[in-house]
This record gives sequence, C-alpha cells and structure tokens, in this order.
Amino acid sequence: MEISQHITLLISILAPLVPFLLGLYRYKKTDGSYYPFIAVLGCAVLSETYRTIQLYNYYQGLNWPVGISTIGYNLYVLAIGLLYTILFYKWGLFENKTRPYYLVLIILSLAWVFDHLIINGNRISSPTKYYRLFYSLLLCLFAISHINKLIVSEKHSLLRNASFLICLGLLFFFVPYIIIEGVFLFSPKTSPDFYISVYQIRGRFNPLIYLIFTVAILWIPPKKPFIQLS
Amino acid sequence: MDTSEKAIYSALLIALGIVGIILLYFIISIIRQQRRYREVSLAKINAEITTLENERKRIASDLHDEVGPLLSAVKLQINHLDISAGGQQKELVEKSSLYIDDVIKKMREISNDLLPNILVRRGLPAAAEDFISKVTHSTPLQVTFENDLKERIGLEKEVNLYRIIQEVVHNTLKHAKASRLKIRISQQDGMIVVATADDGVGLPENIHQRKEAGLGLLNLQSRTDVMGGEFNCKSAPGKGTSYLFEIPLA
Repeated sequence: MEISQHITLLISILAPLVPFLLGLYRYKKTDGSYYPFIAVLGCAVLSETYRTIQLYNYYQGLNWPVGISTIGYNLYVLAIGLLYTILFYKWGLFENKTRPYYLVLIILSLAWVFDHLIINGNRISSPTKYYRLFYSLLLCLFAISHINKLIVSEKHSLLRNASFLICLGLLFFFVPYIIIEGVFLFSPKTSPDFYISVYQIRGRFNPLIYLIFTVAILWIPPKKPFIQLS
Repeated sequence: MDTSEKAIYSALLIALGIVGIILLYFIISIIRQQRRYREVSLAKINAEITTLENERKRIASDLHDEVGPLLSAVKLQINHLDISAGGQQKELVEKSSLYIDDVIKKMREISNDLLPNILVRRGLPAAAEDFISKVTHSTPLQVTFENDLKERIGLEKEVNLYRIIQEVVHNTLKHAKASRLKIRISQQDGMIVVATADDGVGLPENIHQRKEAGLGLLNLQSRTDVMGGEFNCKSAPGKGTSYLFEIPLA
C-alpha cells in the first residue's frame, strides 16, 4: 500500500471520529435538541470504519463480502434519515406539530421498505438506491427550509449558529451525494475502479464536511438554565 | 476505467465543481443577507422601543408635574368654598373633593405604571418586588421573587427588564390560568439571567401563528433583542411555561 492510501484511510476514519468524540465530551452540557446529531455522528463513525476496512481490503487486493457491507450501509442510511428528521423536528421545522413529523418518519420508513421489498425483490444485500436519493433530497429540502427560517430568527452571526453549520454540512454532503448516487442509478454496470474513483471524490469532500460538523459541535449552545417551580 | 467510464467520471467532476460553486455562492449570499436584515431590524426595534419609552416618560412627567398640581389646586379651592349654609351644596363639595382625591390617586398610579419612580431611584429588584407585591395583593396569583442582583445595571436595561417582567406576569394572569409563578433574577458569567416558571396550562402548539397571543411573545423577543440578549421559552400543554432571558452585562 502507498503512503497516500494510508493517509486516505486514516482521514476517512478520523474525520467523523473527531466531532463524535467532541460531541460525547460535551454531551451533558449540550442542549438536548442536538442529541440526534451526536447519534448521527456515532452512526457515521461506524459506517466510515466499515467502509475504510472495505477500502483497505481493496488496496490489499483482498475480497470483501460486499453483501454484508451493503446491509450495514442500508441500515445506516435508514437510521440517519430518521435521526435527521428527529433533529429537524426538535429545531421546530414542523412548528411543533406532531402529525406531519410522524408522517415524514413513516414515509421514510415505508420508502426504505418499499425499495427493499418491491424494487430489490426482498434482497437485503442490494443497495436501496431509490431510498438514498429520496432521503438525501428530503434532507436537503429540510436544510434549506431551516436556513430560510434562521435568516429572520437568528439574532447573531449565522456562522456561530450550530444548526446553520449542520445544514451547511448537509447541503455540501447530500447535493454531491445525490449527483453521485444518480450516476450509479443510471449506469449500474460500472467497474470497481470507477466505483472507487467516484468514492474517492466523496472521500475528499468528507473531511471538509466533518470539519464543518466539528465547528458546529463546538458552537452547540449549552443547556438552558430554566428554573423549576419547586 | 474504460473510455466511457472516464467520460462519465470527467462529466461528474465538472458537474460537482459547478454545483459546489453554486452552493458556496448561495451560502455566502444568505450570510450577507442575514447580516443586513439583522442590522436593519435591530435598528428598527431599537428606534420603536426608544420612542415608546420616551413617550411614556413624557406622559408620566406631564401627568405628575402639570396635571397633578392643577388638580391639587382645584381641590384646595373647592375646600375653601363658603359652604356654611350646609345642606345639598356642602354634600356636593365633599363629593367633588373625594372625586378629585380619586382622580389624583388614579393619575399617580398611571404615572407610576408609565415609569415607576422606584425603578429610577432604587433599581430593578426593588421595582420588580414592588410590582409583584401589588400583583400578589390584588390577584389570586402567588408570585415568588428571588434576586441575586446586587448592583445597578443601567437604567435602559433596567427599564427593558422591568417591562419584560411586567409582560410575563400579565401573560400569566391573562392566558396561563396559573396559581403560582416564580421569578428569579441572577447574575452569571457576565450575564443577567431572568428566569420564570408557572404552573399554568402552557402555551398552545400554534402560538406563533396566533396573532393576538403571539404579540406578547414578540414584545418579549424585541426587548431582549434590543439588549443583545437571548430569549428562550419552554412550554408543554398542561405543564406550565418557563421563560429564560439572558442579557449581556457589557
């Protein structure tokens, strides 16, 4: 293996690990509405570790049971789709109305199940490509709506607002993701070299996105000292 | 990669580059727009609140310095009327004198509500305590007041915080159906923290969409914004409402 490949692998694992560990460190002091985001980072650490092992095996010329890694990634995309929806709900995207919130959670879950059962013919090892496009698009729309809300509601600089930075990271992550997943959807028979090259483009974006998430974790407001009627 | 894959790969790189630039431009323009909006809206709120407070101050001063002495003079003159004959005229003069007393008392109350003397002279904790004791005596709401603030924080901030406390108490009386309200003023890490909690019905889910109900909250938000602070509200149906105001001292 070349040194550059070692560095790529190291960065892939460290990128989500740093904000996740920071999030855990600040967990007790953190405003509760951001807990789903820390959970998302935890899922990202697992997913990136998994993918890095996969990439390591590829560099070593070893085979990796692709089916197992796809099952893991399928579960990961479902989990983060739901967690981000919970996060946006806690930020007041649905104006505290529970009906549209539960509806979105149900639609997301059904889209995942539909992709598995109908489109993939109940093969759990096949990637849920349509669901991935759907949830990425939905999260981009949520992020844009939240940014629009922040323009009028935020009284300080947007760059010091954790939720704005998270939305920014989401847009920078999911817009290229939609394009890349779109390409794989419409040109499914590609060589492993092509897949790895495209994955590496995302790999170069990821550290930047996790850097934004790290700054966001640092800007998460502390728990508010509300008083109780004793 | 074969030739077709290389072509797709190049097209993908170009597409991602273009989308990245558009996204970056979008984000930068949003940040700039928000900064402008923030400055303009803050200046507007500041002007509105300053005008409102100046107007209140002027009316309070006019009532106290001009109308008050005139009424006292009228009362003095009425009391000097020659009503030795007694009967109906004497009763009329006595009644008029009592009415004038009521008017003077009411006028002092209005003048005090507009700008409490105690706030100017002794500061926020004393004024808040005075206001709360009046509320506790005249309504069934039991208000507990705790204060850690030892020094004066500037009249402008004191007036805004006093108005905030008034608004919270009025909201609790009017909408919350609460029996108890707790108010605490403290100083933490260079911030003045005003925290309140009641045992009322809580805010309705769609409070922000209801114009008349949301007006009180908007008022609280505007006062907090003017002081460069943060306003947070926690409420659930049936579980009461808690407000938190964090105002920088500097």
